[in-house]
Amino acid sequence: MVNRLKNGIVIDHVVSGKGIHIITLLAEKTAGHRVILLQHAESRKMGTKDLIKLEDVKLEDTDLQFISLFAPNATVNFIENEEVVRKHSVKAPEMVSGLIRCPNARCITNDPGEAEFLVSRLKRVKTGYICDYCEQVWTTKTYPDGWSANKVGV
Amino acid sequence: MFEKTKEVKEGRYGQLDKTVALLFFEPSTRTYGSFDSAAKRMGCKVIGIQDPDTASLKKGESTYDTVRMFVGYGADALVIRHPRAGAPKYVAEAFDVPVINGGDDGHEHPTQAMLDLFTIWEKFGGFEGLKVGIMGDLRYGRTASSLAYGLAKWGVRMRFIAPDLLQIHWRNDRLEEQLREMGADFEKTDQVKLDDLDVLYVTRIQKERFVDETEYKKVKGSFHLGQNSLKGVKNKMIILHPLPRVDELSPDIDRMDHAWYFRQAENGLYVRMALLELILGD
Repeated sequence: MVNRLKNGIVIDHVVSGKGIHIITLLAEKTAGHRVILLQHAESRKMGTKDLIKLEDVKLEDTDLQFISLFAPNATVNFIENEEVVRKHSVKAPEMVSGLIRCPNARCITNDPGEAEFLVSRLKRVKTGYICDYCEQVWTTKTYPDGWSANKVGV
Repeated sequence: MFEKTKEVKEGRYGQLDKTVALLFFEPSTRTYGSFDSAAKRMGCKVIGIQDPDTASLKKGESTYDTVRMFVGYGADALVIRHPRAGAPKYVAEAFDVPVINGGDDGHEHPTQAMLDLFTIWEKFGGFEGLKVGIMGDLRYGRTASSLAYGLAKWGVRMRFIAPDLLQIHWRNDRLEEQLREMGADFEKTDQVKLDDLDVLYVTRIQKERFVDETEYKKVKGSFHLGQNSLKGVKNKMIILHPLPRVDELSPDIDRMDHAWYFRQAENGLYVRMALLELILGD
């Protein structure tokens, strides 16, 4: 599987060092499956990059949205019988709603008392994402390490 | 807005007969006092919470439930002050009642910016050709950013005066990026150069933000203004400050014609009266 994946998904061109976030976010989907993370691999386009292989895993649109947050230029390759049957270029969505909490601890969306009434919203801007409520900016490089743990519902 | 504020200041205003809820989830002397006084002068009944420590919040009630209760009591408008950024927007989305942001954490304080802008407008009769220096803690302060957005809309030239550590490029919001998108004319410097300014807006440098005490002392020294610092400034230049001040403005400036900060604070009352009339009037 390290060299060739029979069936599954290869996520390529992930921002160097951020692949671990994607693995954490997809933990439920990948439970019991083989997962390979290659960190800081050489890349002509990016200098260095991360690459992820997931064996026998299927991804849905919301999963691709998560991926886009940490890998705005990633390519997701769907593999069947060692052949790439579909290539999906991740596009960062304009709005990420209800999927991930704002990492700003002082944001209203992180008030435990309001969780029941409030859906988090991140809006895309030129440099990354801003929370639609507190307007704090987050870029792929400045996502805090604990961020992936903020997935709503986890 | 400014014309309306001027009318109000001249004593020309009606009575609204409405109910305004002041919901201060975080204590504030000036903002609460001026909204309370503004609403009462406009003939409104005031309900709400002034001190979160004595309110049901202490028992763990959510913001949503608290607001819902006051909406149920017949509030026609809500003024929200909250320790969490984005809370006023959340309340505005959740309830079909006008919401005024009375300050939300380090995010925004728009009515402060309105009174700052009104004070400048009152002095100069407009904004054309003005150059405004904004000095102090530009990294964490919310009044400086709200004001900068307002000034940018009028094409006012701005000079952000602060040590690098407290400059606007360290902010966690998009202030600098948005100012560039708006085509704003601004410069950043750590030099206190005041001779070409029409307005100097001073904010408090917050000691607790500094890791290094020596660095703080150095900054504090160069950003402390006394009468001597104002040699060579324009005669008509005015100094504004959102208050409270600590030691960045020496009291000996208070007697000078440049000192407009107490007048500015008083304008907070008239601006908030005008705002209530614009929102709740016929």
